[in-house]
Amino acid sequence: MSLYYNIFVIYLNMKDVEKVKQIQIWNKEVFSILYEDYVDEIYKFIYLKTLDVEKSEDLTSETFISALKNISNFDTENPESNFKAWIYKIAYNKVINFYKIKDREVEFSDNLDLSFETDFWKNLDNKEKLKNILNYLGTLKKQEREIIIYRIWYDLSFSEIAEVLWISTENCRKISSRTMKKISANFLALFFIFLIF
Amino acid sequence: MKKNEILEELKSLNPEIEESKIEEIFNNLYKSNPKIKINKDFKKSLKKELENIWNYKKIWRFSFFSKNLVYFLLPLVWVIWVFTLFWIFWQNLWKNNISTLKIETWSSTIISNSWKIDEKSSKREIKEFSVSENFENVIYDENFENNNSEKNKISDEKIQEYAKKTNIYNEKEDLKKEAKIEKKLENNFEKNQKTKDLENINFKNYIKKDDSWFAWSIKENNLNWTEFQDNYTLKDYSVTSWNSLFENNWADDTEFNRRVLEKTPVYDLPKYTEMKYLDEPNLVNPTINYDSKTNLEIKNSINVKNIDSSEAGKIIQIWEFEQSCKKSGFIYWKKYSRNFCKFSEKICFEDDYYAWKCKFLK
Repeated sequence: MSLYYNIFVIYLNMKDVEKVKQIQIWNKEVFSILYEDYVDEIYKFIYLKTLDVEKSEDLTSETFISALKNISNFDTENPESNFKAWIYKIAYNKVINFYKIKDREVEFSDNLDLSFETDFWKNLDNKEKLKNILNYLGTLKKQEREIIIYRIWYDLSFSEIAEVLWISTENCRKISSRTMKKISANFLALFFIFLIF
Repeated sequence: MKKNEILEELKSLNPEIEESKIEEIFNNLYKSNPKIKINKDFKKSLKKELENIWNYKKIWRFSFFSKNLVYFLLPLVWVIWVFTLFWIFWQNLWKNNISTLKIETWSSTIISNSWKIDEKSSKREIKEFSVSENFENVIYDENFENNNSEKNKISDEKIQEYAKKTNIYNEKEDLKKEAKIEKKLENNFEKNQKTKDLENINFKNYIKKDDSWFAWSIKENNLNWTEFQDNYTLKDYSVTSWNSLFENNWADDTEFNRRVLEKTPVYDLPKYTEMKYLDEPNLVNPTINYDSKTNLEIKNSINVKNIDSSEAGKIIQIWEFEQSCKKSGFIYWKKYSRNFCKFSEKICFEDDYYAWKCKFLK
């Protein structure tokens, strides 16, 4: 039992790329660890784009199934390979495909007008504060908003964001810098929001 | 944990903005990060689903390899096997084609069989054959002179005259003028054949005659002559013993050529050979040899014109030709070349034979 535990700890402390290597040689335990690491993040990522539990669950399951089927194609030898960016990109594409199939361009900002009776708002504690922040972020451009949210909320590095959004890392940094300038220019408005709520 | 890292990064990216402002913005955004909880049942069910896919994929992977063996590897092996067989077949076919082509071009009607010999064996065979057959010819001459001395005196003169005219061998008119001489020569030839008895002839008797170029060559080259002279008669003398004699003294072909071909005076027939053999082979219309009496096609004959001895490496063809010529004639050595031909003395190369003999008797 102790041996099993030690092995499990070893797997737990592995980097993502090493875990993927283990998965590629059909190590089932490591796959379950990797799943536990990312399922919550991916679900949240998709949920904040769809604001629908069922759709989010469907897309989350699709994302992981797709990842499992294509895990052998993941290049572990490439030092620039990043599993987090890879799986976020799969989720991002799944969401885009979902909206393409549904023939509607519903985005995160479009759902800001949702009433507080929806599931999304019910589950949140700081509803008013979040709503105001989202309203404020809605004034930004889509790419600017995505980069800031991905960086602060999902803890994606600029290189990972660049991979997900299919832009260069430098461009990603510039957009981030520009967005921060915009926000700082309206700092008083944002500060007022936080101050009130 | 990573909060500070992100903040520092934002600060470094925006040096124009006050740090306090950046910190305030960042903290507000960071705190407003919504905590969305995933349904635990969904999480478990998805995990099970993935495990099922995992197991299926694993099974499928192993089955994939087993299918590979049946549907991919075995056909591949089969293709390789067929290719090798085809390759072997094609190579053999190519070789046979070349060999038959050579035979057809060089020996016209005489050689119909394809002989599979390598170069070394051909050299050996030629060497052995030439030595043995040459002796027969020499002995034949001896008998000819001993038993028909009076006739020979007459015939030798005429033979020499004829030999001079062999330089215009191709002109049939001149040959017709010499028809009487030819007839006499034929008669002598037949008589000589009848009286020829190889078993009664001792090699010592033969060797006394200086007109044997072969004996001369042995003497000149300091071969194991005394041993041979004392112990061997013609009857005992065999191809193998001669072969061993040759092998002991002549290291290679060049040495062989130097000792025998170049030093042998009787062999010096350059003009004759040039005239006869430097003609290009008539590949399209090979001439057929006909019997002068019956006017029928002679099957076991060779058209001399179709032999191009100007090129080297015709030994194989010649060897095959020798094999096909069951009736022994004489060996014709060509100077400065390892190519030589044996002609059928009776059938179609009597003229050649007599011409050669004329030179021989000089």
